[in-house]
Amino acid sequence: MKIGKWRISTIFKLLLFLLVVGSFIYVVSQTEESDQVLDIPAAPEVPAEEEEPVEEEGEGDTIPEEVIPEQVVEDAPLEETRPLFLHSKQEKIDNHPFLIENDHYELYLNEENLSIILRNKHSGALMYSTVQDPIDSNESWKNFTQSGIVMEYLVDTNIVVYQADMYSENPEKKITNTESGFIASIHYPELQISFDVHVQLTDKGITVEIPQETIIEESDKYKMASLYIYPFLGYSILGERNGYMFIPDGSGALIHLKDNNGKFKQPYSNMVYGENVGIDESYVLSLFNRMNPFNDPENILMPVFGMIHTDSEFGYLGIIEEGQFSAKIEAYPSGAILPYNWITSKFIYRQVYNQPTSQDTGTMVVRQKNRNNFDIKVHYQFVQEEYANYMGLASLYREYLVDNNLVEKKDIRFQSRIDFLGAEVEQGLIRKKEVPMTTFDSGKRILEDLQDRGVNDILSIYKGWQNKGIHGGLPILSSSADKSLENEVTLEDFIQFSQENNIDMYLYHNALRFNSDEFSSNRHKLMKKFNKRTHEEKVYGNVYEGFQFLHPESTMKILERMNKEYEKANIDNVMLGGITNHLFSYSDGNKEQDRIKTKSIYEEVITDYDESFNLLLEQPFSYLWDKTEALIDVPISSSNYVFTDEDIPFISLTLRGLVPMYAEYTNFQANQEEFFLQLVEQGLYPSFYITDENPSALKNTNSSDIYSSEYERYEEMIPSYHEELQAIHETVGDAVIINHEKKETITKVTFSNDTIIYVNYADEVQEIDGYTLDGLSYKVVTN
Amino acid sequence: MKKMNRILVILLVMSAMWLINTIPVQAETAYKTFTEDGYGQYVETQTAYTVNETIIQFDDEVFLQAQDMKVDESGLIYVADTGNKRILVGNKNGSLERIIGDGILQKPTGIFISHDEKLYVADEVAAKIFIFSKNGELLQEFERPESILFGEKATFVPEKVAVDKRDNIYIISRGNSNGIIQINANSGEFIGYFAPNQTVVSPLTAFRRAIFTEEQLSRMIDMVPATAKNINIDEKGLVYAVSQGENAEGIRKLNVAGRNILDTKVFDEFPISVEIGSLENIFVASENGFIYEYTSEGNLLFVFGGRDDGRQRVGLFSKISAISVDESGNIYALDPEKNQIQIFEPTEFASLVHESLNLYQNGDYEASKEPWKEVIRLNGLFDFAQLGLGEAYFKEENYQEAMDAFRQAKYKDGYSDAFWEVRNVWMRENVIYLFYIVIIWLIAAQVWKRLNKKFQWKERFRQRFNESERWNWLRKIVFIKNLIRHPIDSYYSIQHEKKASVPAALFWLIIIFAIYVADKYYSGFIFRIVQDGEYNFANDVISFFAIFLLVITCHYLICTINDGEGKFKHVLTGFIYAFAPYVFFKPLLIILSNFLTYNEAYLLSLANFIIYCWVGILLFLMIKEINGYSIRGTFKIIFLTLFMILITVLLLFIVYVLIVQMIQFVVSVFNEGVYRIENR
Repeated sequence: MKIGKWRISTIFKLLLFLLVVGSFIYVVSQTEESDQVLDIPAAPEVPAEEEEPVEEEGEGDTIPEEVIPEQVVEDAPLEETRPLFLHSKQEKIDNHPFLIENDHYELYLNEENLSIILRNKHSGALMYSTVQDPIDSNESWKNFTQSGIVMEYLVDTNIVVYQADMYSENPEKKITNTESGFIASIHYPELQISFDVHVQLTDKGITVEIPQETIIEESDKYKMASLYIYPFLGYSILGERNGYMFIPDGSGALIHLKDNNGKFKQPYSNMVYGENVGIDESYVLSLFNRMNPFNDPENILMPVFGMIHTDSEFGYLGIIEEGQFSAKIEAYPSGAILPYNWITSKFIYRQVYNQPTSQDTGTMVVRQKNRNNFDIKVHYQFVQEEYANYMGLASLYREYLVDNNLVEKKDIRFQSRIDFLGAEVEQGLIRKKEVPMTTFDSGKRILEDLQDRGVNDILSIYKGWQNKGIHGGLPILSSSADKSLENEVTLEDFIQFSQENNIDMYLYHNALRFNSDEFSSNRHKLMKKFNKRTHEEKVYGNVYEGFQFLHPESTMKILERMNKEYEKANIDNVMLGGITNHLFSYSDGNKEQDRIKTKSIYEEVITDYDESFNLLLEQPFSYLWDKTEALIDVPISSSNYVFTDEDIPFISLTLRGLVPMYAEYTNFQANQEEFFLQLVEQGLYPSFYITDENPSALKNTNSSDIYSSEYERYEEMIPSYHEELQAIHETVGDAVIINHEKKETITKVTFSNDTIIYVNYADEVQEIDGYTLDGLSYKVVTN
Repeated sequence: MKKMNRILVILLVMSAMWLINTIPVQAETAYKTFTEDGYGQYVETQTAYTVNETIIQFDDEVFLQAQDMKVDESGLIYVADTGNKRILVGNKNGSLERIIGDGILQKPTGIFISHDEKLYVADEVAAKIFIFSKNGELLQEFERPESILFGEKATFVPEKVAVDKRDNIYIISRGNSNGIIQINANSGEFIGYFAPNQTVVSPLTAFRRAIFTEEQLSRMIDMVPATAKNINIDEKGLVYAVSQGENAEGIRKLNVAGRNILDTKVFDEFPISVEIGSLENIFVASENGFIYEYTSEGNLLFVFGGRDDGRQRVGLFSKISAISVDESGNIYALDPEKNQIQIFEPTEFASLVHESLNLYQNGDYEASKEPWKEVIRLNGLFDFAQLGLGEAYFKEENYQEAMDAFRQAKYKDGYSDAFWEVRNVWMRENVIYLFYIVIIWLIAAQVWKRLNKKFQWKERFRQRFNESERWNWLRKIVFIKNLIRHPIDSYYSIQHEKKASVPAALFWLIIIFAIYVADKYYSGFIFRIVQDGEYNFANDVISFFAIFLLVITCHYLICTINDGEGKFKHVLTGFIYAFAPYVFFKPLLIILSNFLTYNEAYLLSLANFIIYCWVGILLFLMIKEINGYSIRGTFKIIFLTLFMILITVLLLFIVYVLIVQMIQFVVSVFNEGVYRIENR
């Protein structure tokens, strides 16, 4: 061999050369990239539109909305002088001939654009649904503001949507009058799309329906994407009117009708019942030092929205009775694109999505195959005079829920909620190690101690009781507990103990998530998105990066099996999580299933559980409110969007006195005094997340966000919270809220049994109605 | 006229009411708040600051691309309204106090309120520093210094300005990398450049310097150090400067001599503004919308905020250009794109942390203990509180508690000191027992020696062991000890006398691996490199055995083509047995490392050095003896082996990349085909 004859010096030189070259390459590659991982969180594309290269040639010059950045404010003649009141019946208002009336309202209809005007016969107040003289704007927005119904449609797999309204795309309209309203058949000849709009005048207001059997789509090229139903009902220009829009964001929030000076560029636009992870791309999140620096906004838990005009004392609550699973609620504060304040529901029929074709690069746009399966029915229920405020809206919604048996009155006994975290796992040398945080032993000891301290009514949820703990043991496939938790006291003993001591002990079952690190996905079907990729919910934990979702049928199968297991193990109390506040579209083989399918599967299995067990649901969507003994993790505030002017406790205004409601954990609140006052105001029951061990043991687990939970810290706080809140609860009883007023930093809540609660959020002493309240305090007054 | 006034008053009151009226909404914030653990990783904590007000205008005056903002002692907000060429002064309620410099200023980018209540304005376009009285009177202005020391080509584009108590003006001039310009306001004299950023000489730059021509060098950008982005001065006259860029020190706290006295690695690359709070806490804002709060010593307390990106939630920013802190600890953050100021208020939790820090910094350790403990109870992961608690205990000479707290805080220096003290006490109490043990040991040794002489236990045992066939395998394993005293003979025995075997060698390989793992994960806390809870066992297995295989095969192959005499099994056993010193002494060091402090760290490194050298020598001897090379030949073989390893790694890498590419290509083609067909 030749190498053998090389001289040492030659080899040495060669090596030296390689070393130099190698280190040069290394240095270059090192200096090019910084060793720190500051990814500036990149823009998560906000509204659904994505700027992707359009595959097909566009359809002329129709400008997609939402892309329009220029704001059309000021200069144009803004003042529309439309009357707020008309005190008698008219032949015609603004080209809207009289159509029909009942005891409370008169309906006027302009057949040209399906615009309606509603007149309140008692006060004469009017509600308009389209703009009379639109401000100068581009054609498509002008048509938008003047149409009762606006459709968006897709052209092949073009990702931008085009607009067809009562003017654009030349619709043919046929209006048929009915006993209580009218039916408008709309046909777009060019697009070969048609549908019927049914409008009815009811005692409470109007309903608008679009039954899906009337929808006809004959073209392969043009398909319906979405519909706006009376988007401009109750609109106003800038600060011309007084009042507010109500959005169901978290606990509820109000956007005042005012001139925002162009401060806001984008509207509030969210899916009812949360984002649809099956089709919408989630935020492409860049991490901040390996952490996600943002909290997610609150979901819409109930399909309602509202508009109140305080100047004419007229307003409405829009309840989406059907189609809510594919609906969006959009609220435009003035200045967001147009100088109008408007709020509407939007119904999504079809979307396009990105289909990746390889691991890293290359995607193609695909259009959803089937139309989402739903009828549209929106009931606009009107409030007037002294009820024209958010309290009036809440009362309406309460009536609606009770009348339609969507919520029944429950046992609203006051209880403090003491949740335990059982086991977690952390990385070990060879295999993952269990971290027992609260054994049944110590759980028992803590509960006994609390009872000794006078906390008699306890509801407790045990999380992470299953084998491998809260994150390692997903899905839950057996009713036996993790070994590390059972020292002297077994799960069975523990449940028996709680039954004997009147503690409602629930086992937490996350029925949605799947841990593919621990379980093989061969035996369980996982939820795949429309693009046939398995969905992964990223959590960036210390042990597990993310979780998959179970296919709804897998969820059902597991839950059915566990139903028997739980019964066998004499477990009566179960809390379900995950499936109670997630809904998604998914692909099932070659079929595309929409959210209604998911919902119907979940609803069925939850109903089963409701019959077999005492069931709790975790922050449930409104369609499940009747299935749970209590609402858990009720949001105490809104997501704090820049355009919201106030938070209102809409859920509490609606449900207090009907359903027991538990707040989010007190542990993680930075302002605990203020949080306590909110519990008092909203009548939420206190919740604590407790572990026996110090939470620093969780540092290397996926629960590293639990930083405060040790019992020792809360052993005095829980009894004092319990005592104070119980006392209030006893005074209020099952009375419902009839009035809620805010005077700067003081809130006054009036109940149907004449009890009044004053809450002072300011640091200073304040006086109200002759009572003096210390800083950060409350007062309960009974009459 | 009177009527007009009244209307005006009513309007003013109304607009003020409008702003006050908004109740501070307590909501889940859009941003998470983090603190740093002892390893410098972020951990989540309670919200430290919530927005309680947003100012978009002072009465009717809106601002445009405002670049700087300061809040004075009385709570007035000064905004450098850069886009509108003026300074706006307003208060927290959004009402306008006055407008300064309208018509004089051209592009005010930096402002500063001096100790004698004068307003200094840096104007980029006018290239001047203007000094106004608080009422808006122009008092003085400064232009480019004439001094030769300033530099002929040096630019004077004042971007930011600060003034100390002796009326020295510190000016950051855009593009002037000589440092911060210092001018005396009273004499107008140029004093000199202050604290320039250092150029970081990376190996790459050094390499370029060596080979590039003058011309090429002058064109290189990163030869010029980054200019500071912003400055501020605290009550004591210390200057704080923030700089951007990968290699620049993000935050510097400069003493009079211009030396940085802060040792903080800033994670953010875009710090833009710095402010000093009442506890000498350093607040830094980054252009990305994050706000950092450091203690005066540079420990990160909180970081929060973030870029809006269309989330549209309160507390996020499009960009931050300036932050300021008022007397009661509220943070004001100016967003030049949204043209608004968000005012953050400390929460109960942040106030508690500040209270503890205050007590602690004032030296009231006893009193600071309780609040620190409360912080820890509220957040078990708040390592800085553990550190504070540890220091408090240490100062009280409660070393055991201090040690525990420092351990929690992962603060190695403190732990080492506390442990030294604890160990000292233990030694003092137990040294007598050690003495006893040594004596007993000596006596026992003597007794054993005598008895053994008489009964010959040891010799008989050895004889039996050496002769019995049954213990053959064990003899081969135990043979490793001979490497320590007679390496050359032992290699001969391995090669020619079958004193060792491959199974025995593999046994030792596993032991070596176990020691390697134990060293990595179970060394004493202060000497451990890996963090608590960090385990990469699978990685360790793979990398250890892969490297072993690679080295041994390459070496063997090179030997075979170079007339080496060793067979593979001899090379293998010889190679592994060469680690004898590691096997015998490393475990002792691992145990010892649990009882040593930084004071004795040199012992440990010396011992380690000896072990590794020894292993190296044994390996060298192994190659030489087993293959029968000369010393020169052995060196040659070693270099050749290294060369081959390099080539092999390269080759494997190339093959890997090719395969991955190929798989991806096939998958893409297949998928695209499937979807095209499905969607026809």
